Amino acid sequence: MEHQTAVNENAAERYLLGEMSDADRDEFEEHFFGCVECATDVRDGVTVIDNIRAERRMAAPAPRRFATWTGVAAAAVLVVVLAAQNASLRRELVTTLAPHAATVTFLTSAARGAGETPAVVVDRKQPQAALDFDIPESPFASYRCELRDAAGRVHASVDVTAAQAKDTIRLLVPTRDLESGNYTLIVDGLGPSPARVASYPFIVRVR
Amino acid sequence: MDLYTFDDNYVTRLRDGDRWTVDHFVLYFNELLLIKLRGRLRSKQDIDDVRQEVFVRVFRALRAGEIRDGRKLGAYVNSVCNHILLERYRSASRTEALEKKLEDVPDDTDLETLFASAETAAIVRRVMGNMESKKDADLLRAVFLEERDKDEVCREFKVDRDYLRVLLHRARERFRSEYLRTPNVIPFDETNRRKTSLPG
Repeated sequence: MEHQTAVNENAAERYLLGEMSDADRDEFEEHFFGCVECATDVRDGVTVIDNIRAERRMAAPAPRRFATWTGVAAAAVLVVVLAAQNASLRRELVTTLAPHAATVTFLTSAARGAGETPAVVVDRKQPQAALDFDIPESPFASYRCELRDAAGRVHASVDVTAAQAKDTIRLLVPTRDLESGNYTLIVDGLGPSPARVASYPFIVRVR
Repeated sequence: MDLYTFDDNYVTRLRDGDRWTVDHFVLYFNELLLIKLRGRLRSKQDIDDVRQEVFVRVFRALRAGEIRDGRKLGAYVNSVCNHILLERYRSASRTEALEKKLEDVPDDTDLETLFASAETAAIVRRVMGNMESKKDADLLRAVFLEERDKDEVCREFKVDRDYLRVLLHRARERFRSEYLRTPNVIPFDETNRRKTSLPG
């Protein structure tokens, strides 16, 4: 395809709108890979279109990341409910678009450096405390998330897949299982070469 | 002297591993490959795999002296990409149609907004806000945000497909104009042109 033909036929717009036959599309691609002007037109058009599409993300509610937040959180958060039964801990994995109302604390990874350790204020009148965290992008197919107290005892453990880890994880911890003190949420990547991915220290204050 | 015109000098520097030229080459064609492959593959992993393979083969060909004419460099990159796509389709199934069925591959909606950024979003919002009429912005949103059928949208807005093309053309021209006016912005095709001295 000659450059002037591409200009005259609004090739960039037709390409971006998906209006070309396969043959025309292939021909135009061969052209714009070698033509800076047409490549720029295509690239600018793609940028405009992608930013219009990105308004969809802005319109969808996102989990809020204040240190503490009370209220019903937004959609697209993997919720893990850690349930206790009698003297032993039983875990249950729940994915829901309507998380339970709970005090939510967003945990930050220890690797992110200085900053106040998040405090989780536990009110035993509320059945659960919610801990939100993001697993850093890592090449593992799955992760193990363990809640440990200051003595290193594992209070609960849950595995999440890489696909689930793309969203914010929300752990719902029964408040009766938490005492005042230091805790750490440990995230390890699982697989042939398991490795520590992140740790999220926090302090529990029981009211 | 323009260092980043695709000429024989550019090919020589690329083959010799000149850092700025290699950076420019990868940045420039990386984006074009993303645009091309996004229309054919639905998985980001597949796109990344193909892109990487394209660069591996092109650099191999460069070192082997198979590419000399800089004016044909772009077409060569495109051609290598086509070959790799064909190989993938063939290896997927010998009896399958060459066009990969979209329902067979995972949908990754992140692909739809790869070229969006906080910086360009602000410019696009201004462009949309300054359109001749609200109807024009609504028309573009109906097509790209709501992803409605284009013919149906044109009927609803009482315009034809030519109007839609012209609208998109105007939007991207205004985006370009605003983008170049934004301080400290280096357009992607200008990236590395600012490095006017060759490394020692």
